[in-house]
Amino acid sequence: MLAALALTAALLHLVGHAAFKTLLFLAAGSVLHATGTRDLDALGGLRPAMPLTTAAFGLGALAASALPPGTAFVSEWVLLQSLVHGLPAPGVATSVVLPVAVAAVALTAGLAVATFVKAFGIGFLARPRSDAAATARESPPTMIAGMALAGFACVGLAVGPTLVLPALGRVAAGLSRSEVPVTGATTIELTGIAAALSPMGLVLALTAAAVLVVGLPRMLLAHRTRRQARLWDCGAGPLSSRMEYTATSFAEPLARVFDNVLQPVQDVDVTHHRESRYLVQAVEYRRRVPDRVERRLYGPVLAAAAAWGRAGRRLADGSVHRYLGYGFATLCALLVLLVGIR
Amino acid sequence: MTGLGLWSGLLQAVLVVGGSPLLVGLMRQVRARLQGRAGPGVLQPWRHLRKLGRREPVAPRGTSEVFRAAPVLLVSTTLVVAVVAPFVSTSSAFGPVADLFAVVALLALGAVGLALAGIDTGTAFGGMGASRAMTILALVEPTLLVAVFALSVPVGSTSLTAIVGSTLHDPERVISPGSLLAGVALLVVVVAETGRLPVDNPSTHLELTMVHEATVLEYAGPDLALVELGTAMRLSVYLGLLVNLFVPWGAATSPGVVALLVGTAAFATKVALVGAALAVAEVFLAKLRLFRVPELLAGSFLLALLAVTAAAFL
Repeated sequence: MLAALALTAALLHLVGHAAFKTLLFLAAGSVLHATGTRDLDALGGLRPAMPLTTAAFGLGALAASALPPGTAFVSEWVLLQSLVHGLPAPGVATSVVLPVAVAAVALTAGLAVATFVKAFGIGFLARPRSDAAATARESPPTMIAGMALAGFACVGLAVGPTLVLPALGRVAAGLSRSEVPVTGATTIELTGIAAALSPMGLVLALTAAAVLVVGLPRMLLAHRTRRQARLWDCGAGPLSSRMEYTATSFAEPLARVFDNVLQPVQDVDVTHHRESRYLVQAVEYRRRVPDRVERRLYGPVLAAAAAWGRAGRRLADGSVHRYLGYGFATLCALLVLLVGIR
Repeated sequence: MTGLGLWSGLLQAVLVVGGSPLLVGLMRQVRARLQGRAGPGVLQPWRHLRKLGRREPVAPRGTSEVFRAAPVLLVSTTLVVAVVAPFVSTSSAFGPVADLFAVVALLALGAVGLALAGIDTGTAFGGMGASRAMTILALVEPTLLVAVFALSVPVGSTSLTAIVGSTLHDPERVISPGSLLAGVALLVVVVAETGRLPVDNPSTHLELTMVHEATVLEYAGPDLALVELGTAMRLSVYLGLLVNLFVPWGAATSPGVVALLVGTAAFATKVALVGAALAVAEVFLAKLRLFRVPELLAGSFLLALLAVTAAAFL
């Protein structure tokens, strides 16, 4: 039963992933088309020039970051329910594995939120960090149409996941030979588990609350137009885009927390003035996060394959005599082997 | 959806919106008295909100609608949680949203809105605050969900009404090891998520230590009023969840004017007591260095993990 539920969650995540990843890739393509760069540190300020792409990426980011109302949130919820209710199963292994699994899902969700806040906030909001981003123009309607299609799929799956969930539940039930784990027309109800979630109700409740929060002060207070004002620049103004946080600086605290895992390489070079050691002429800072999987796993495997190849090449040096010798040695070895078996 | 749930939902909305600035005022007053100051009085946050609400709305140059929508998102997500959670009674106004996982995700959504607004300003402060807030949010998430797991084990459900109702009928469970461990873990989570000491100092504008204040530095006038109200409501809702998950006594179980009034009074008293206790503890605490916070959160995660194991075996 729980296996079927977990499988349903995985299938729903697959469907949702197809929608939001398509949307995110199309939006990223639109940005690449407009600016010619994929470097987040060089982007920013795309919102005024590219409102539709910004909206598309924002929608995709919301769907991907496991926050309500998004598609990944619903699949995360179903997955968590299947993990949480697996504990009554006997055995020490389940009581250790399941909490750790929940924690892993939670940490993934938390890091996904931070990732997409970074991608959306640094990539599209604030001020442009390069000339390419400052001169960006919205993409042609054909690209917008593609994003719109994927965006509708995202919205549909976020508000009405119950349109596809029962069908996915039947597939999972068929595969694991159990009852259909998920039912419900607008509210997701789980078979045998006292848990329910209504994504549509969530959206409606949020909308109603937002209308109330916007509308009530307007009725009570006299409505006045917004005045444009300067940003706080500590009186030193004007602020330049070099003072903004970049994607690298945004992720730095998390990278530092996980530096045992990531092992970033950084060095700082300080050049002093010739006259005095107390005056600094230039500070150069370099930081790189090398991919540990690439370095520790792929690197050694590739090096071993290459070493094996080199050893093999030494055997074949082009001498016909040596090749004949190999043939003779193999024949002798074979004969000895045959004698031994008999 | 029942009459009891609807009435208590309405009461809770009024109580949380009206009472949360008073809770903040109470906590400030307790701190002030313990530090030997007279303090501005419990009503001061409301006076401050009234003053801000009358001011002219300001749009800092270069900000987009994300900046303007974030305060609304913060208040509306918190308001939805305040309405659906079983605070005053054991019934919810809208059961299918009153799931503990959904509620914590909704509260996270409000925080994400503020972080995006911080980045949107394009100042160094805004980016710094957003970066730190998201770091803490990402690290808190495992503790939070594992603690929710621990609470759901004895009940067999993550529905808030089920947990509150079942604790009400089985008071001994509150002092079980699993429940106590989960309680301590959740307390650390609440402190981290609401930006209180020792994770973040709510009364500082010292740039090196700011987390929440840095993200909202550019807000002024009615927008700032919404942000402050939203932050206060977030604190009340988190404390309310903490209180009612572990000490739900007093909550109304049947519809009736007297029962609902008793439930309201009980809830307000419990939250005020926990808030005052938190304020007393804050007097004796200093803010942790930002990169020591993960150690605190790792400790609380361990407690949450132990809580699940204890709930499964004991």
